[in-house]
Amino acid sequence: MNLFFIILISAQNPVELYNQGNSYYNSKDYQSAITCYEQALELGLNKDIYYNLGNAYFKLNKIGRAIIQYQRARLIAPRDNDIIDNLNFARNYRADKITILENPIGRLLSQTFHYFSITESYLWAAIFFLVSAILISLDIIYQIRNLRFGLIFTLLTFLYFLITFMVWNSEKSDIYGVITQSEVRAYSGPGEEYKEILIIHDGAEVKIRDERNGYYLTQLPGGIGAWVKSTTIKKVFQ
Amino acid sequence: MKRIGNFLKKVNRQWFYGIADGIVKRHRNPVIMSLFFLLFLSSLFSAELNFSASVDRTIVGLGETFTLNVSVSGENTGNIPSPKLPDLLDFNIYGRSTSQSTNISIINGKMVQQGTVNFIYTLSPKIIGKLTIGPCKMDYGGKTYETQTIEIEVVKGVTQAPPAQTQPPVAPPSAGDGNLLVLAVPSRTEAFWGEQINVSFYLYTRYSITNVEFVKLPSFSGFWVETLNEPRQLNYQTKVYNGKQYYVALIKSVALFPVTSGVLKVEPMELNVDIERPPRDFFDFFGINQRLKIESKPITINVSVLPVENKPEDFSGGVGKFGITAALDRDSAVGGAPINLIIRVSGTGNIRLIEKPKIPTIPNLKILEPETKEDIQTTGNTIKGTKEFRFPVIAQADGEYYIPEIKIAYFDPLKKKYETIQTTGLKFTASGTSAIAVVTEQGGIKVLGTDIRHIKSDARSLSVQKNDTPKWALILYVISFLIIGISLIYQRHQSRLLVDHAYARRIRSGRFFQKRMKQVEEFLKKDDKKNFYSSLNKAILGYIGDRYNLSIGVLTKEQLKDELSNRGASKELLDQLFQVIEDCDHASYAPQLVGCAEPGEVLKKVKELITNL
Repeated sequence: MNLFFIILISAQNPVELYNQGNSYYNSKDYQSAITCYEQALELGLNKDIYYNLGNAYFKLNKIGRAIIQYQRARLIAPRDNDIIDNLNFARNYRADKITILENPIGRLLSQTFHYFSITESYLWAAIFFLVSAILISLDIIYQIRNLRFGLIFTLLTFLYFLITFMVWNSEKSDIYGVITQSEVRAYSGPGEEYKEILIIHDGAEVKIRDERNGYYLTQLPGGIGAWVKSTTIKKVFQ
Repeated sequence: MKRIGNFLKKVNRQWFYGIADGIVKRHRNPVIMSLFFLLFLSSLFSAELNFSASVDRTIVGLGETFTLNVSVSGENTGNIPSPKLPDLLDFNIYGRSTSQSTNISIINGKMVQQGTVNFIYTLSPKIIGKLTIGPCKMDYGGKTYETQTIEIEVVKGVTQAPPAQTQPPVAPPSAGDGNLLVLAVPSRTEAFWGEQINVSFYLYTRYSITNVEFVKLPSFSGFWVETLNEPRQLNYQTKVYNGKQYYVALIKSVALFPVTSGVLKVEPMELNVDIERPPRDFFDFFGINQRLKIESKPITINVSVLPVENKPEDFSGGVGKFGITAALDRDSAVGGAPINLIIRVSGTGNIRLIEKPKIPTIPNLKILEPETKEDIQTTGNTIKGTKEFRFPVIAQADGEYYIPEIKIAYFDPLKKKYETIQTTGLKFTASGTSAIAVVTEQGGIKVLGTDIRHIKSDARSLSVQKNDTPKWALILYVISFLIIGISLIYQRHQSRLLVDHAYARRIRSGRFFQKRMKQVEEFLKKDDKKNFYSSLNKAILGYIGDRYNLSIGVLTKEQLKDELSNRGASKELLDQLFQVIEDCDHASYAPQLVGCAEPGEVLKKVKELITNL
């Protein structure tokens, strides 16, 4: 395998690998494109590479893997509409139609706290905390009361970025996984000898609650729990 | 009735006198009183009287009696004098009677009193031929009233059957004996489609009736029926029919509107009538109730079709006489809310059968099916009413709209032709219609399929983007806490400087010492030994005083030394320091003494000692 890649891929820096991947993609050689993009990602993370990699997986009808790539891209660039669009498209494309009732307030909150990326929110939180500290110390030394409104504003902004950061951080945790095989059998216990209770399809997003004997205890969006072979699931962030 | 009338009259007068009394009492001025009296009189006599005379028939047989009725009616008939009869030379006067009635009604909130007095004379002609009853006269309230002359034709023989009410039929009653019948009387037998025909059912009887019951009401098939009158209590009047006198009462009257054409039949009406059977003999005193079943004869009505020629397209089905109005319940529609177009057709005729008017299509206006409401009234023998069509109208684009004149046609059976009536045009404005999404069906985008968005294009350079948190940002938090800590400490120091005198002296001691030492160095430069030593001495003592918050002036050197050693200064250091102070003391008083060391060295030593202190 390795030899094959070496022959195939002449480029060695990420930009060349990326551009080569794009040309493979355009000539519909999606498998080669994936190899290029993955090599490029090993040299450095970039949202465009993730995005194109997701597209290549999608073209090969690997919905689960595509969703993973889009999610990784979104963590870096949450305001990129192409990524969000394709993520939603891939989610709607999968076999298991899981209807989650979305209420408009929840959606608005989710959008509000996904506007800045994890890195941005972390930095901004620190900066606003520093500004708050400066304002606090000015208040301590000079007792300038007018600064208090500014202080409240900076503290609230800090809080906003802190929450954004925490939201991302929880989503980044390794409990999130996506089914990457077209059809997966889920059991009531960690092993094939247990009762088969579910059939999950490619692209289903699950939470991994436990691991035992090469099986993951997964929780589906509806709250149903079942044991699935760990090889059929790929964690989103690992 | 009469009693009530009199009572009211009385009340009226009392009320009147009461007011008059009040006015009189209040105004004892004779002029006003007399004026008022005149007013009072005029009110009593100003009312016009109606004075008339009539006879019950104008053709009388010789020797027969007839009645002359002289009737006086007016507002005040309380003390009407008897009328003066003309010379009735050709008649015998058999009797005279009076009847009086008062009718009180309230018209427009005003009580109107109408009294009638009838003077009834029973007369009998003496000769055959045309006779004249001259005008009757009456003087009342300063006026003379006259009646018209009446002509009577006197013929030979008997003209009239004896009065029925006194002689009921003696034969045993039966349904077909002609003494009890029900008659259906149509107002016409030829009509147009939709034209009103009134049919009245009368009960004719020569018996005295105790109860009437409907057995079968006619079905009136082929007609739309409106009941005009259905009296609860039968109101009898006398009437001659087929040479006999009957008591006649209206049972029911209906208005019929043919809805089909051709020969239509009104089915007979069946009645059960309970009559009081006349007594058979003298001992059959009370008589017995008997039930008779009677029915009316069927009527046929010829209904002709409405003329086909000149039949307008917008003929609404109305036959009669109608008017049309149109209105909008609002002038402006906001946010796509419907506005109501109200079209009212009102008039006399078959109002219920009128169909909804046709409304022309107006671009961007959606006119929905109307809600209809009918309000039918019967006044006398005619059917009047209003039919209301309420069309909800929805504007689908902003702008000003014009609803054109709406026409309907009806058939006027009197003129035997079609008439067209129309409304006035109406205007309204619509705004905020964009709030409702209007789906345009033409020229829209056709969705054939969906796909993911295309890949990002080639790049000349790719920045390495992190998806984790930069650790160096933690430094910002550390700096933040440091800033706050420092400012807290600084603030505490500042406030202590204000409050704690000893602290403030100690903090400033170094600065003051440096200042003094500068002075000392200046003296050294000038080689002014005396001042050098004295200022050096001052600087050292000043520093000690500031540093330990002591008042140097009041303490001796020994006390000072003890105090300092108590505060933890080392003995050796103190000894050296005080040695220097002593030397300086000596030197400042006797600078020429050579026992001292070089001033430069002394200065160096002092600095060293102070630093170590």
